Amino acid sequence: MQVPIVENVLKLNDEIAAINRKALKTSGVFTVNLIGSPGCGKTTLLEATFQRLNDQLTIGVIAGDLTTARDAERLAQWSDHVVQISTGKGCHLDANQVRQAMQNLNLDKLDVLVIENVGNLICPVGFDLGQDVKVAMFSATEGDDKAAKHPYLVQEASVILFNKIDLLEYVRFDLDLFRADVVKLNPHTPLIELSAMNHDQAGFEKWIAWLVQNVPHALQYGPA
Amino acid sequence: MHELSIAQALAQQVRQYVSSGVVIRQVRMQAGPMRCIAPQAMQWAWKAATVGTELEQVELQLDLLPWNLQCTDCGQTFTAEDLFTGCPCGCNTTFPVGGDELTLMSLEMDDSPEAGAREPALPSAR
Repeated sequence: MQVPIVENVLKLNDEIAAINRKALKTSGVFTVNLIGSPGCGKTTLLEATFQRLNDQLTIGVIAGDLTTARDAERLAQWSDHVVQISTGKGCHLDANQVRQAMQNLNLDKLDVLVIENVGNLICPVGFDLGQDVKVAMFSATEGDDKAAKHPYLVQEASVILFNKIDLLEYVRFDLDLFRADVVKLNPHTPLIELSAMNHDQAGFEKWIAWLVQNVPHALQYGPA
Repeated sequence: MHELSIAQALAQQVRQYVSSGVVIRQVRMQAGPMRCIAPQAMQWAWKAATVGTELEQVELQLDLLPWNLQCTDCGQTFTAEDLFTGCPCGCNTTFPVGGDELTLMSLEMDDSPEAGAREPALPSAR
């Protein structure tokens, strides 16, 4: 006997993500799920973002890693609102892990929460955490085919960051091809090319402007 | 490795339908190409997620959907195995539509009186 069901497989995760989203909206927090490969510069970007915005916005971070608290330790120098999730063997964060981590944060004090996902371009994409937006991060050293090879991430992202542009002259990377792949997969998403390491440049300021302009957008939702 | 998380979520979901006197034979899951599911890895993950549980004998039937591409020039929609397939009209500006499906479609259940009493049968060859 064939019994039709037709249910989203990640339904349980999505239900918890909805609870997270409601709590974050109620506190007026703009929440970013930052997804990129290991070593693409996620933590460096956050350090630079703290340095640039610390006197304007209160930014919290939930840092996901398989092991070690090194990212959280780096970021704790900039903010009191940093929580580490060690996934142990998990290749991505799920909504329940974020829900538990959120209990260690005072959401009412935050303007922005960045969830730094486990370094991985595939697994994190399908798991809703309750974020407002997903931000995809690629870098020059990963090769120009990474957008084409990870269509789900590119399509789900609200902004795509291309990091380490200061290394382009040293690596083999066809920037036009990369841009064309991004446009094919997600024509409406801004692509911001920057160097998180040399964060005094125009591209980095575009990222800051994008982030800041979204903060009141989150506030206007008001209590859910 | 995301197959394992999906398998665990699927097993958790299927367990909601386990009841006495009913034996689940097969689970049918549909996945879009965005999900990047490798069939062998998915089968292995399903075994890993169900071994030693009441779902150990349940077969996973995986339906992988092709890309659904739409042409920006002529507007026609067509399916393709490769995301970067050009449109039959000759242009090369296509974009994917959907593709992120991940759905438990159906369960094959055996509720005959003897089903609960005997050992679960081995998955039938399909």
